[in-house]
Amino acid sequence: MKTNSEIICDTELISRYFDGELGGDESLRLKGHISGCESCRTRLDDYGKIGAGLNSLISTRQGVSTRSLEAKVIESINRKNSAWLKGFKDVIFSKKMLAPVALAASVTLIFMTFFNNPAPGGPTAIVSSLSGAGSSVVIMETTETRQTIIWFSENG
Amino acid sequence: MDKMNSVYRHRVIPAVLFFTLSLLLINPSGIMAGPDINITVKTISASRKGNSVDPGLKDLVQELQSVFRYSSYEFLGQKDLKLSSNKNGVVPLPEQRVMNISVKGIEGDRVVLEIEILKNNNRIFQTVIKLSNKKSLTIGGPEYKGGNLLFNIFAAF
Repeated sequence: MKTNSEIICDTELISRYFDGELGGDESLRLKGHISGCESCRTRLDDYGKIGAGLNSLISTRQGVSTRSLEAKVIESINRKNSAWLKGFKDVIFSKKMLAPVALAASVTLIFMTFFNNPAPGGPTAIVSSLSGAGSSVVIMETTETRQTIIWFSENG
Repeated sequence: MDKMNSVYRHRVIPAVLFFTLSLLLINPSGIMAGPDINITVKTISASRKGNSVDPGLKDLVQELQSVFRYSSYEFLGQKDLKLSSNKNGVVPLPEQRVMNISVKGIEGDRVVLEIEILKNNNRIFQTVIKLSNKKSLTIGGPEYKGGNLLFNIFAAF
């Protein structure tokens, strides 16, 4: 890092200083140098005049403020990004894509229904029919696991 | 764009429909022939005399106690069957009794079983039940040595 006495009149360094590209320490050191160096001070003033003149020329010729021009450019970039997202959504939710997406969802549901067996919630056995020599048949369930119990009498 | 629409209509949609229908045909709902069913039948003697429970029956008895008031449960025997659809299995029971079990099919998560109990070759009980996979059912009632017989039927597929 150059000290005050070591800084030579570096036009590039002054240009970067004018653009605000120098770090804190370096900027302070150059500022200190400029305050004691007439040629660097003049150069810095020239940069300022050139910049102001260009801005004025653009504003006059094009009727556009450079600051508002920057804002418009940024806005245009953002709009393009939004347009891309909108386009993406339009493709996915378009009528053309809706049928295949719905079919794919149906297929997935069918797959899950047949290959995923959830635990049943009812009694362990459902009685479809009963017959016997005895006269009485009783169907019961245990309290915790709902195990089905069928009780029949052998004797009539 | 027109060419794409044509390809889409004539190839993509039929292909997806064919795939969906194939899945349905491979695994339709309703009764269907399926894999072999593993069935375990335990024969138990339950009585109000005594106060002992065979160690292998503890879990089952704990559940049955919510319904029965027996104090003693004795494990008499077990028969393991592996049956496919419309196949019949025979389980010998005490005192000239026999249980016939046949698999009628599978409905969703339940196996359809026809269970028949005979004594001296006479049918004394018959039922058709739909038993959940990896669950059991207990059939009881026949008198045995001052108590009653219980038949616990477990199915897995």
